[in-house]
Amino acid sequence: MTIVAARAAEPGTRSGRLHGRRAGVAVAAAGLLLAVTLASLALGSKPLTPGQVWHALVAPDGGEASVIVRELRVPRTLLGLTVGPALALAGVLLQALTRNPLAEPRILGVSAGASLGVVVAIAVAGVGTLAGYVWFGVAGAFLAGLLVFGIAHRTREGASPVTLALVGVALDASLGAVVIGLLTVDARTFEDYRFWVVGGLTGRDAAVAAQVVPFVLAGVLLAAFAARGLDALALGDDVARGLGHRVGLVRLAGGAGAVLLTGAAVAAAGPIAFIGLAVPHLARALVGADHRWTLALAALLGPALLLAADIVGRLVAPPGEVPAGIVSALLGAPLLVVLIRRARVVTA
Amino acid sequence: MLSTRDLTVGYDDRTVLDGLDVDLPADAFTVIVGPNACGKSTLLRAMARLLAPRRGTVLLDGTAIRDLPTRAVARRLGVLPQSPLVPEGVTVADLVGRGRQPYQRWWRQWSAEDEAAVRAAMALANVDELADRAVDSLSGGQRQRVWIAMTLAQETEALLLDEPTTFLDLAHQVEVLDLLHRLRVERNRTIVAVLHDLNQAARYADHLIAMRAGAVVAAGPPREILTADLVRDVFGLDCVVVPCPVSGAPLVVPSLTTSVRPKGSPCVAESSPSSSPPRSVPA
Repeated sequence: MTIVAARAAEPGTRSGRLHGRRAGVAVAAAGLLLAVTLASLALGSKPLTPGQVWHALVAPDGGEASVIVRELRVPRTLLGLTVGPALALAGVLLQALTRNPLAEPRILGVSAGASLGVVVAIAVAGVGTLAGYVWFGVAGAFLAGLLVFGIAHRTREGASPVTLALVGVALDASLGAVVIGLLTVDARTFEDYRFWVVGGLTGRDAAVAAQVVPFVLAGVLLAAFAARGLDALALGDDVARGLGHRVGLVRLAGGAGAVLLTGAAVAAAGPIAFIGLAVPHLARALVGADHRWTLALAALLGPALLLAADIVGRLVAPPGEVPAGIVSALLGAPLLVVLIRRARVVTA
Repeated sequence: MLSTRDLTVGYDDRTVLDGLDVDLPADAFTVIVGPNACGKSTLLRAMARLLAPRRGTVLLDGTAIRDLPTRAVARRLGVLPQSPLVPEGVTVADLVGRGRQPYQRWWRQWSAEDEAAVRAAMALANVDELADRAVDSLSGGQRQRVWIAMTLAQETEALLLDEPTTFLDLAHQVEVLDLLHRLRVERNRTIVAVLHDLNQAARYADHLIAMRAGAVVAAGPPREILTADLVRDVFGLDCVVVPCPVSGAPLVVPSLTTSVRPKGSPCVAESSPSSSPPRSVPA
């Protein structure tokens, strides 16, 4: 309330102009997300008219169109709307915490922890459904995150950007080795695992999205709590302390948020590449280095890009599909290159 | 307003400050000097609650600083550490605006007071023309003024600065010190700075603290305490101290050492300045 009143009162001020521009970008991003969401319901390998889609949504008749829309397109759209923000927000948090523009959800070993959880689910617990993997994936991600922060915290530097990144990368490598080891001795596990590891929104029913929503919401709250502290932390630990922040608390909140978001996203949709790396850069290029705005924009652009990748994957080779994890990596890499060449890089 | 009692600070098994009692006068420009690794930055950082002491306390107007909420301290003490990080692409206005964080809460975001404080700080530090520039595109001197503007936006009674003139050329050093001097005189701010240059310290300081090996060797007005004996004691350097021809403050002139002594020049360390008049350079 205050913020709007103060800015509306001085539309000509510098911060007023900046605020207006950022709000404009956010509204445009929200519009884009809405359009992509509708497209995700309307488009697919089986062409349906908008009328059929609408009818299937409001008055299902059990016909083919109803089944396609309600049992295939709605669940994957919901999953995209859950996983997309999680990956993008985790990327923003991790790039800020490690002060490293290359950071992405894999850097803390959290992604590898989720993978190990899923492999254990398949090989040891005998779980065979994607919905069944979720708990194992979240648990694996959580344990890996706990391990990384625990080890980094005990070093001389504490959980600094460098120790977090180094411990995370080391854990990522060793957990990855364990996963590969388990897979090479067990061919049947590998069969199940490879469907999960490609990453995508297909084959997951709405229950999967519902399972991870609480984790994503908790992660969003932690990210919002840490946002202003991350702005200060970007200027160095001493400046952040001087500005009245408890540096350890900001790191803990941001790190816990990143672990929850990554764990939930990876457990639900597999390790989807590039959303967590490219979206934070895109968001900062559009609204500048203010984490409250960067996080808000990432939460809108992440699902928009993920759903767009999923839609492209449905349309390129009908009646088959290319998983969103593959499309996002194929499209995300050139997007990032264009961004780096065109726009000014804003690191934090 | 700031003082320390029995302040003991160390890293790992090394004790840097051991039982230090220091009192910083309010509304004064205090400069801490001393050789490298004497603990002067450690003292500043401990007083700014950036380092937790092993023993002893830092008192802010009589209250132990560790008993005060850090956000409340941030409204009374502004801190500019030695090498703050500049994220790429952050604008001057954005960076200075972050100085308002101690006043903001999630339910109380950017306000008209924040806007006014940021404008005033940028005008005072003379960076208002740079408002929309990226900080990483600025020169060292401009950048340092931007950082000072950020701490000014905090609207604190006291400013603690760790070597604010390092890496600046002479003109920019003077510019930064003049700004700090104006803050003290015109705005009644308490300024505490660690400086390397003794002559600048003597010119600008109301109160000088000379440290060696983690202890305070002398403290007081530069005109009273800055002598050749003190410089020899603290830095192990032979010098003469003469009145500065411009300000009248003590001016430390290191004695000639063998390596730079031109042939046939007098080599008396304690010689008075009149015996070796400055040579005029032909135009």
